[in-house]
Amino acid sequence: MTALFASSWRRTLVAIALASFAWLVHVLGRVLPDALAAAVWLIMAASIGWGLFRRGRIRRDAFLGAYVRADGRLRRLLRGHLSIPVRAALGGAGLALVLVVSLVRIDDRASFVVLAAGAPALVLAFAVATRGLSAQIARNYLPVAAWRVAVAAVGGAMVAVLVALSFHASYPDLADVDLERAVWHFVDSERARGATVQILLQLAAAGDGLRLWLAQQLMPAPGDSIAEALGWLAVLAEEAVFVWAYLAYLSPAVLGGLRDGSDRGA
Amino acid sequence: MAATAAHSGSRLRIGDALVALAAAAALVWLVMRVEPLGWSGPPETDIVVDGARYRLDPDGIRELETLSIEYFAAGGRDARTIVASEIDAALDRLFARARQSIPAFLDEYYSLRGEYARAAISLGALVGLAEPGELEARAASVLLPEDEWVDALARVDEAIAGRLDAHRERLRAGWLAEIAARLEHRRVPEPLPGATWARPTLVLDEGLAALFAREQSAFATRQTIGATTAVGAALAPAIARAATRRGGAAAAARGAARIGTAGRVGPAAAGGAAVCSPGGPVAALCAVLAGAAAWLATDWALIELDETLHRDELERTLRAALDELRVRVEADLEAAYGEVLAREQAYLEGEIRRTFVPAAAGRRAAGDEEGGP
Repeated sequence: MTALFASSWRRTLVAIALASFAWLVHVLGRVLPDALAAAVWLIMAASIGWGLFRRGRIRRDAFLGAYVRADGRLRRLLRGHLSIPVRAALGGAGLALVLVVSLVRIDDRASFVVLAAGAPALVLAFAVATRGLSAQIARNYLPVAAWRVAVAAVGGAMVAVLVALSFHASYPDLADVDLERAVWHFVDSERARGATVQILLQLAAAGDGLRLWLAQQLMPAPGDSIAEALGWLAVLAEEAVFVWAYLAYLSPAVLGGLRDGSDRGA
Repeated sequence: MAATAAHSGSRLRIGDALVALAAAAALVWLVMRVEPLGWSGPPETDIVVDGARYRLDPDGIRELETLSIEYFAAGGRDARTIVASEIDAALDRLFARARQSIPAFLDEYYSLRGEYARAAISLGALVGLAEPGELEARAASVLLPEDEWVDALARVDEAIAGRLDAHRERLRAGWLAEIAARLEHRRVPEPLPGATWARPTLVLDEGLAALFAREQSAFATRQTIGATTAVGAALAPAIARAATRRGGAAAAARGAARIGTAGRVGPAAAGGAAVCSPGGPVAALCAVLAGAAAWLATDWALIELDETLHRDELERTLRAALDELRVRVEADLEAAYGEVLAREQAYLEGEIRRTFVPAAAGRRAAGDEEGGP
């Protein structure tokens, strides 16, 4: 257990380094040429994909160990040598795209403070979860279980704070304008050096404009209507995807260096 | 040994923790201090044309500038054509009437009344009762009466102003349509009120309206006033020259004939006296009447002879003089209008160049913002 917490500080350092890289993306994202932005996206996709792959392998191994005989042909068929990497690559690419665009579009410091605080919090939560679950969960599956608990705890807190920040943010009044004008207002505010980056930013901004316009048209007065609930659910889902992508990006700091059984719950 | 290792591990853990905390603090400090870098992109300008908003980069501005200059230059050429056709039509009508008056003028000219009227004016000029050149002025006024001339030129001004107004309106509508068609793919919605990233904005409708209002006022001044005066002064000599070139020679011939006749007045009177015999006061009156009748008959015969011999030539001369005058008047009027059109065209082109310079657009927008509420 002592070794776990000893390594946790190093993992915290790695997590802070990854968060610092995300902050650099936030600061420099609009002035990066497309090639550099693509490199950033690849790095983040690799980080997220590695975590997805690692957790996928652990889950698959746990499944095979529990349900499939070691000497059967089915084990070879289900070991997932192809499907797990492909799903990890696709998931990593998609989540990295969401993450890069969202990082560049963050427009208040408080949100990034939440992200920065989330990095060490995730490592510490993982360590605590690992410690807490080590007596209950099978050793091989413990990292995934601890990861899920840590992500649920830290991610839930981060989403709650980010939604609260969104709730208190000021938005333009779109009640009396048409949809085109509303969307254009958001799209026009997005500028980036790279043409591809700019298009991605503007697409995301168009989504924001659409959501906000719908919200103000459907919810002219605050109240407890279904439409209002759906609107805030959309915000919640958006923030949740972003936070999930961010935490997935940090996963190498948590799962990195773990060898099968050697460092799990020690 | 184990204690040393444990102590060493503890120091390592503390060191790791301190480094991690320091890194976290540094990251938070950076987050709180460093602003993300923005990217403004190329200096774009919003153009408002006919109520629609378009977004143009510097290349688009230059393209629009070139298009506008070429469009209004073509419009200027069309305006010259309009002016020329209007002047041509007006002068056609005016000089057609003058040509139609030539036979009447010649009938008057080759009549005893005309002859003696000219003689009376010439005599009046000699004794100071008539202005020099009045004879020519009266002759010219028969062909081109001044009131008709002035009215006709005033109508030319009005007609040209009206057609140029319509032309400007067509030009404006055509230009707006051309701009709208060319910039359709660059149209953008109106920004929300108070949008902080609003671009410099050029409202071309207002600029164009101001330009056309200026042009309209420029053409509100009569351009034919100078021509009216010039024609008034030039018309009489031109007609008189034509009239007296032949008429002078013919008059000289008639004068010589009259001298000859005067030489024969004595015998004619004597003959009259013979006719009026027997003598007495009645015979003297009869002789005077007979002499006057002979004078008139001689003049009439000479005028008839002069008309027979010279009327066609005088008519050709008068027509040539009118043609020459028409060409000169037309050139003068076109020059007067051409000068105004050229001046307005140069002003318009200068305004377009000034308006479409992106930097100027930016300065103007900045100035508007500073001067705003």
